[in-house]
Parts: sequence; C-alpha cells; structure tokens
Amino acid sequence: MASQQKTLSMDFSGEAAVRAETPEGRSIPAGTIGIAASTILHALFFVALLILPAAGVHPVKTFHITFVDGGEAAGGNGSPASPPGPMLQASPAPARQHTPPQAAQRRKDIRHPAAPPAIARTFPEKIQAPQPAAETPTAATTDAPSLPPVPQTHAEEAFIAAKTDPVENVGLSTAAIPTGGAAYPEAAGPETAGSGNGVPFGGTAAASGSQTAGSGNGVSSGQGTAAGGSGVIETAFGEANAPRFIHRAMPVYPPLARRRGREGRVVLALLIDKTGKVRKIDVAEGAGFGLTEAAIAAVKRSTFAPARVHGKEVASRAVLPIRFRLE
Amino acid sequence: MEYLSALVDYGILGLLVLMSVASLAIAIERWLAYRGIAVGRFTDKRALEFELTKRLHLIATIGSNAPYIGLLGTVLGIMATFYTMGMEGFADTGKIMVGLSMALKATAVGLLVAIPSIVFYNLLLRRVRGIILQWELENERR
Repeated sequence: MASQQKTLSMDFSGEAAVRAETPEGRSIPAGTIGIAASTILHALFFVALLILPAAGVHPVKTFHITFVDGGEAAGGNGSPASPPGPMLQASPAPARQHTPPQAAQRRKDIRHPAAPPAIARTFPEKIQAPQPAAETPTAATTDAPSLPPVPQTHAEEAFIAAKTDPVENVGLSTAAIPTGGAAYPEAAGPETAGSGNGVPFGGTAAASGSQTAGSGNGVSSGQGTAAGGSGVIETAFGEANAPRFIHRAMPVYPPLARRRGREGRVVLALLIDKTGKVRKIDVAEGAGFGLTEAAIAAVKRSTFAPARVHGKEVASRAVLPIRFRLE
Repeated sequence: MEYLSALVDYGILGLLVLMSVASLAIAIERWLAYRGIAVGRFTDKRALEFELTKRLHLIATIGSNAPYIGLLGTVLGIMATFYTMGMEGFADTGKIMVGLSMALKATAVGLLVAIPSIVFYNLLLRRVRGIILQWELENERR
C-alpha cells in the first residue's frame, strides 16, 4: 500500500477507511485473513479428499477406475497390428443379466471369464463406473444352459494333442540346426509337418517360425518348457501378463447354429509356449452346434505373442472366452 | 517424455492449486473489505470505485484462465501418452490409460478452480455496484 502512495496521487483515504471502519476493529488487515482462511480451507479440502481415504475414513466417495489391458469389444478383424483394446474391468459377469440391443452385427466378444469352472482363477473386482453404451457388456446371458456337454470335447482334445506331437518332433530336429540358418528351415519344418498331417496349422506355424527366426533355441527351449511344465503361468487373455494376439482370426459362425439361432459362449484354455505357439487347446466350457469347433478353428488360424513375466517370455496357460452372438 | 507427466502433475496442478488459493484469498479479503468500508469517507465516486475494484481483476483472470491451464495440462498429458504409445508399440495399454486419466485430471482441476472464481467475481462485482449506487444515493448524484 505504500507503493501505491508513491505512484498515484489520489484520494487514498479509502484505504484507511477500510482499515479503520471494520466493525470488529481488527488490527489484522483483511488481506492476511483472506490468505490464511483460503490456505486453511484448501488444506482441509485436500485432507478430506486425499489423506483421509488413505487413512480409512471416506467423507467423499471417489471412484477408483483402473484400466486393464483386455480384448477388444467389437469388430476387430484381426488385422496384424490391431492391439487388444483397453476395457473397463467391471464387476464379475454373473451380476449382469441383461441383453443389450446394440450389437450391430455378429462379432466376437473377448472378455474375462467370470469364473470358468475348469480353471480356478480369482481376480480383484475393479471399477463400479457405469459402462459406456458402446461397450458390449460382459458375458450376458445366452449361455445355452439346456445344451448337454458336447461329448466330442475330449476326442477333440486328444486329437489336438496328437496333432501337436509332430510339431514338437520337428522342434527337436530343428534344434540341431545352427542358429544362423534357423529361419528358413524352421519355417519350412513345422509347415511341412503341419501340412503332412492335413491340419491347418500352417498359418500359426509360419508366423511362429518367423517369430523365432534367428533363434533356433526358441523352439527347443519353448518345447522344453511346455514339456517340463515348470515356468508355465496361469493367466487369462486381457491380463497384463497374458499372451496377446498378433493376428486374431475371427471365428466363422457355424451355419447350423446361425440357422437355429443358437448363441453361446466357449471358454478355451490355450497352452502357449515361450515362442507364442499354441501347444494345446483345452475346452474349459464348450457350446454345441459347432460353436466350440469354430472357436478352436479360429484360435488355430490366429497367431499369438507369448506371455511375459517381468519382461521375459514364458509359457502360459491362458484362458480365452469367445462369445457367439447373433444379431 | 516422462518429464511431461511430472510437469503436468506438479507444474500444472500445482499452479492451479496456487491459483485457487489466491482466488479464494482475494475473494475473502475483498468481501471483508466491502463489509467494513465507510462509504461516506469518499468524496469522489471514482476514488470509491478505484478502491472497491482493487483486486477483482485477479479473480477474473484466475477464473477465466484456469480452464486453459487445465487444458494445457491435458494436452501435455496426451502428448506424453501418444509418445509412450509410439515408443513402446501397443505393449502396455494400462500405462496409456493411466497417462490419459492423468491428463484429464488437469482439465478437471482447472474447471474446479474456475467455477468458484467466476462465482466469486460476479458476486463481488455486484457488491461493488451496490456500494457505488449506495454512495450515489447518499450523495444524490444523478
């Protein structure tokens, strides 16, 4: 206020008037009171908002939204560079029982399974925020409950297991090849083995062959890990550690199921080795009318990046739910 | 560009908090001043007006600029997020989402600072107008 006296020659009796005429006759200038009160109020605000919740008291309810890397909701054509879209991790699926009308066309939903019966997994419940309308909701309804378990599941499993053996054998043989020239022989090897069996593993093999190009150790050590079982982590698609799709092939909706209007949910457990090759496909939850087979065929046409623990690739047994819905 | 997220967190949000404290402090001070002013002491209406509107412009500046500062924080946060996305490919979308949420926090805080500031400013402005009119009535100026 002294500086104002210097710069301006005006009637400054007002300043004194303000000071002297305060009703309570304070000697503290109003400015100091203002700053002090403001600081105290802000401090209280922050304490209420930030510190008290940490201490356990919740005067203000705040939502903690965490985002989990998950499968993408709609229309992912499995283009090579498409990343798994982030999704809001909502409360477990059984809580929701509504069917939304807004699935525009047939598409595959990848979701965390609520609690797949064959695989015991628990994951913490995350946000309670309402899901945006664009999000197709988690595992709603339409698990055809009346369908009996498909008997060919076990036969399928055995079939798949038998099919993977030639691949492993090829892995043994390529281990002998020096690492420098591993790329081509390796790519050729699994492919010939695959085609020799008449099994459409070609896509997977070629991609994983190029994946492990330059490291012949990859296949042998991956196979060793798969065979040994040590270091195999249990995970589910969408978790931070989980394997990811490099190329995601969309399953073909079986014509029989489509004609009958059958929808369903198939939960697969994929044994993916360190190189990202699918070693084994287990059906944790099957559906009838060819849905299971369509899901398995789609997985075989897809390519995966292996799971990572602390940045290192590991073999994993990953749960993958696939929902078939008609629109 | 990790420094960007630190810049947003401490720089932008800290600046917004400072502005909020300043805005509320000035508002309280002005309100106390208006309560205690003796209108009769002023002989010139312009002197009264000068005295009354002393620090109001600061509240107005804070109220109108806080959203922009918050927006700046958001833009910086999104820049950092895109940079991270570009560098790491699509490896960890969790980190991307955390970065984006941090960015949106800046806009939210900016708005939280601006809304009360504008309210205070308008209330104080109205009070100033009322005091000047009161002075005019007392001095029978037309």
